[in-house]
Amino acid sequence: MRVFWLMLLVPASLAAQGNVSTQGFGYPTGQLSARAEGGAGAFGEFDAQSPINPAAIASDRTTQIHFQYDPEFRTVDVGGTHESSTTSRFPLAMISGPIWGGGAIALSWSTLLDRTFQVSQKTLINNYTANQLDTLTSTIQSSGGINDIRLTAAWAFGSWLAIGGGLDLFTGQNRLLQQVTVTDTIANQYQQSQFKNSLSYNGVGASGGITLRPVKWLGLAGSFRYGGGITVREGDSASVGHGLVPGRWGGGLLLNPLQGLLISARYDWEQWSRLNALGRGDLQAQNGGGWSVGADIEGPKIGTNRYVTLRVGGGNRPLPYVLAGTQIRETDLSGGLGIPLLGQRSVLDVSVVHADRTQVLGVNEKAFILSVGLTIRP
Amino acid sequence: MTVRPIVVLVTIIGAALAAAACSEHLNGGAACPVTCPGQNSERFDTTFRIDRLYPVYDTTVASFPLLGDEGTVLLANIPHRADVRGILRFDSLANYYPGGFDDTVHFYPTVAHNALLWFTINRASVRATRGSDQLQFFVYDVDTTADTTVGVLSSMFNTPHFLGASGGYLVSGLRDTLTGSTLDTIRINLDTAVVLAKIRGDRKLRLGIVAVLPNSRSDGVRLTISPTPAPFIRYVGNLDTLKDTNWARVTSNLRSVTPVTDSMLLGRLSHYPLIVQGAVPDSLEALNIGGMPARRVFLHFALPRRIIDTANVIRATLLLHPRPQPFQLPGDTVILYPWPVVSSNKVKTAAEATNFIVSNTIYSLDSVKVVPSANSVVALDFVNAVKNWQNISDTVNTRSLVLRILPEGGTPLETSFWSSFASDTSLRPHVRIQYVKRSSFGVP
Repeated sequence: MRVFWLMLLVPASLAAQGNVSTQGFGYPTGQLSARAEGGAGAFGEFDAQSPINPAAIASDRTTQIHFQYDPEFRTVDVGGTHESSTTSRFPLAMISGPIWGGGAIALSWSTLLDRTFQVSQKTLINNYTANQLDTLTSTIQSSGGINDIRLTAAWAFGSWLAIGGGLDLFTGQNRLLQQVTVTDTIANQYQQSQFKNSLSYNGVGASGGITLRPVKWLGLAGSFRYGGGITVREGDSASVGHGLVPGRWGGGLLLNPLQGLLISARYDWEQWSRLNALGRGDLQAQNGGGWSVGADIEGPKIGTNRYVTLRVGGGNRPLPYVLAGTQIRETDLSGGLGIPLLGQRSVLDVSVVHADRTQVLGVNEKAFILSVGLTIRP
Repeated sequence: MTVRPIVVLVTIIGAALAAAACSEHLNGGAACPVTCPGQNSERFDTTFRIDRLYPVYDTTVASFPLLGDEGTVLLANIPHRADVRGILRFDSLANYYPGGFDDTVHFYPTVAHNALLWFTINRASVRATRGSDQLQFFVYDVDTTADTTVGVLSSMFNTPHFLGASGGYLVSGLRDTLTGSTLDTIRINLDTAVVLAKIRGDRKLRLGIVAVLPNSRSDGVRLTISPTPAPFIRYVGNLDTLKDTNWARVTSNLRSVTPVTDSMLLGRLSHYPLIVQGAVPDSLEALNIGGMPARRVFLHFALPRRIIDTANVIRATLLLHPRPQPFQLPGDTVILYPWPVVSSNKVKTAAEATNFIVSNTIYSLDSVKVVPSANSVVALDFVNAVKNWQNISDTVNTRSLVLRILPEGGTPLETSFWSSFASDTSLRPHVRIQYVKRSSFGVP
């Protein structure tokens, strides 16, 4: 027997993301509620529906259920090529309520890193019997991400101080598909190649936070997340990778200079580099801090004592991964509405964020993120 | 400012509709490869040359079908290529006819006339060098104790054994498949004296039929006799040559009574082809398919498991180099069917395994048309078979294919390819495989 290796074709990228925002283990959604996203995340430290600062839930000691839908409409421009995609995300669900004394408790489910994408690349291959070129399509698809399930408890000491803490369980899965198909006019010449894989994550962490209201027109908040170990298992194999959950700390400032006007600023620092041990490739995550400012304005009146809330904000934050030596950052401009429904028993928050990500290697990526959150107070 | 509840309602419904409209559309790739680092899948294009039965065991297996099981009776007379004649056995000629209204009364004719052989031919099977050729059928008495011995039987197609001949038929007229019937009837008057002697003797009439082109002996012709409706012998029997008051048409059907030691063969030999000159001889260097008697090619693939089981094969092609077969009729083509073998490794030999096959459509394998006289490489795609073999143990399936023609035994057409023993190694069969290697992917 003699074997002829005719050619080793150019490898098709298969762990590819095809954009700058979902590199590595995925895109950080920010763990913000639709309400906080309306202010570009500036209210995140004070927002009871955002699993950022555990102490924040003590500021709204009502029983409530919150869930959220965040589709992202992304455009990627490379050279003369324009590409659009839509990613559906359900990044946040939370249930919270009061406990004894000034306490509150919450159970939240939020997306830390979302790794949902599909990349297809077409090449022409020589059909050696039909003497023609056939189209070969290589596709890689990923869905899922790393989620943060947090049990939070907080206590308010009067109207000026609240402290809280939480236990975080990081779990989730990436479901991956690697596929090669050839389009041919002659039946039964080609078969599709399809490999499936899955990555399962398991990690732990803890969070703490504080909110202060020294005077009526000023609020201060600070929080942190301590990241414990996290493991990744490939399929049902015994192969396990070990890493550390990224730590985080941040602080916020809230001003209430006028009746019906809230202004907030926030700084947040993420220790993304701890993910590096979890990965296998050359892609490197880098630590970084982001800031945001926003305003919450009392808008038009509904009925006798209810107001539509208008929100606006802007900010800049780092995404975890470095591409071609450049850290990718995202500049956000946002706006939103908070509409009370059924008296004060529920609120519909709608926000739109325009995200402009760092241009790198000629890839220009922008996105609109629509966020629709519904809070029900039964 | 106060807004009306209807405005709020419209806003909510609008938001709901906007959310509902967001069907996911993920596909991207324009930014690759610059934003697509990490693991890559590798696609390979590999060609294996088959050398002396490895990695594919290739061999010719004869003969198909069993003698007498052909379904039709082939008559072929192609100079230098094929000489196939038909044998029809009427071993129980009816030697009486019922008398009057009483079925129990039998009259045994002493006089016979108008003896004839009746059969039909398949119009679509008629093929000759020229449509203008005149075709005739000659019938001979081939009754002998030598049974199926070709040398003895073929020597009886001579004048002393001549029983009759048909009229001339224009080939293009017989070939006309646009008429309503797919069959055409042939009647051949036989030597009544010989037939009567058989009736009054051992009642065995064995006929040898040959198709000839009397006006153009260098041309070739072939056709098949249809088994349905069954051929028959008919004669008019009478008791007295001077009186015509007591006569009857007596019909006899196909039947064989020998060999008595093999009842299965006995049943099959009522009609069979007499292969005077048939298929090209088999040799170690050749893979022969079809012909008379028909052969099959058995191929057992022992390709590397790292390709068949671990990787994903996206295309697999068997490339066969032809050994051109001259002296074909104009336009002759052979369709090769790759039939998967479904036996386990309990079936040890290629000859046995060639019987454990299923239709190529079961595995979605396509047939391939071959011009036997041409010298072009034949490519046979079998990726769907490879897909069915993936991670299947040879205790279930032995990863084998059989190349065959249809119908076997109904055509002298054959095709021949160089085997893995061909002295010119470039002419040996090759297997070309394109596959995608399984790689660990997903962890960035």
